[in-house]
Amino acid sequence: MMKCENVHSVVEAWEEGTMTPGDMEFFRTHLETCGDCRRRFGALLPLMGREFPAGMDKTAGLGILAPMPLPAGLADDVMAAIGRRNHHRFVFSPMLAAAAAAIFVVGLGLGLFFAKQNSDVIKVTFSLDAPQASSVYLAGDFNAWSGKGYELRKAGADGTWEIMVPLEKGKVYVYNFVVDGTIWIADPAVPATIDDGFGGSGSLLRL
Amino acid sequence: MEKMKNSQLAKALTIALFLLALPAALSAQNLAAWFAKPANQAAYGAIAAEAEALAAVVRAASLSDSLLSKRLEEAARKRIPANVIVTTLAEDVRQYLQVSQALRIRKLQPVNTEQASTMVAQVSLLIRAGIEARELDASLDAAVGKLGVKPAAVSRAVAALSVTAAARAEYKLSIEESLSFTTVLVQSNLTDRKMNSVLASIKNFIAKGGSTGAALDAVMESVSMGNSEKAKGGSSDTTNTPSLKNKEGQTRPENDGGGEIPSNAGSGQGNDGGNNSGRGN
Repeated sequence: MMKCENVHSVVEAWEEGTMTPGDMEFFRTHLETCGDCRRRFGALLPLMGREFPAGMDKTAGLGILAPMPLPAGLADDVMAAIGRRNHHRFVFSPMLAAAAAAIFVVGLGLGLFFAKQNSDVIKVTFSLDAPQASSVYLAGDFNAWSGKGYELRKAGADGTWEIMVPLEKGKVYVYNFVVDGTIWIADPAVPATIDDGFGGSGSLLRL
Repeated sequence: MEKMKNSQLAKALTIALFLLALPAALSAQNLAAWFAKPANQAAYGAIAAEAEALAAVVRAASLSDSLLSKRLEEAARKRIPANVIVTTLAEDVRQYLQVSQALRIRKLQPVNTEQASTMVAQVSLLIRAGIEARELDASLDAAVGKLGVKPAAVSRAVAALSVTAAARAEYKLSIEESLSFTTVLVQSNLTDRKMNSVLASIKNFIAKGGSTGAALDAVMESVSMGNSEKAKGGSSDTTNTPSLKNKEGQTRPENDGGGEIPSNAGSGQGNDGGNNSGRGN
């Protein structure tokens, strides 16, 4: 009778690739009689059986591992069912094909649209040094001169305000900073300004 | 039978006329819609008739009156008094017509009213930035000569003129210098987006002791000679948009590298203040 600790040695030998056919036989015999080892190592038996198939009944005597006898005709029934399922899988449905084509076309269109959108847009950071300001907004022809949603945030303790705005490439823009809600100023860091026609000036930006 | 044919013809003509008039009808709605807003009506209703008269002129040039409603929106946001706005709108319309004329005689103005208006608005911004009519003409002619009669020619002219406007503001270029500068830019092999790089080249040249005139000459010579020689000096700095940085951490959105920038001009090899290209040739 192989002891349980010997089973451990056999398993180690199998892991190391040094297991012999004799070890396999001992292992199988022990698992037939030791429920504890059968629970722990029973799952290894089929794996070991691949390496030592000759003359071995991998599941002989092991009730929990022994296969149940197949009912007569089961194999034929299974194969027939598989055949039916395969038959249904490839049935051509014009509606389904049309829907798939529509989804493909729409998806392709959206993909191209967004690819174009992404390629034509660049994120621009606008910044203004205004330590004394309580609020700074960005207003320009790209946002209909509405600072709503375009409030600059303080970027640090030095009084610099910043905002990042996605803008389309290949265009000329004009913009102002709106300080404290009422003071419209051009970007002092941009030399190219334009007369806004209303007594003020705006900054010119081309992307 | 004859009556039926005439009836069908009349229907077809009606539909065709409707389709032709639709853009103009939609365009006419921009200004009316703007004045229809209660807040705008209250503040600027007094100038609605004058604005409409100006809008009629704009529409007659196959442009959208959205050009005016957008300017009105800007004025309203800036809380400009109504009496000031009318004068400004009249000047705007004069500029729109001037630009439109420049585009039309070169067959560059799009047939689509909204597209034409967008194009005219873009060019008009440059006029307001100080670009003169002859500079516009020169750049458009050069662009058409390079690219043919197509919208890309206008884009190229706008790109060159915007760089010229920035250079003029920064370096006080004369009109003659601006004309040459613009023409050279348009005719160069620089892509539209890379044109701003020449501003960095000028800046570099001047930073190393060169005069503005020498810098301009050097850059123009370099640009006109093409892009066979790669940059020796930095061109990543900004000139017209120094406060702008893009997401990629560049100092401006314009320069995205790519080696098309002939910034060798003014890169520091020659700072004798003369007509030096900085490349020894």
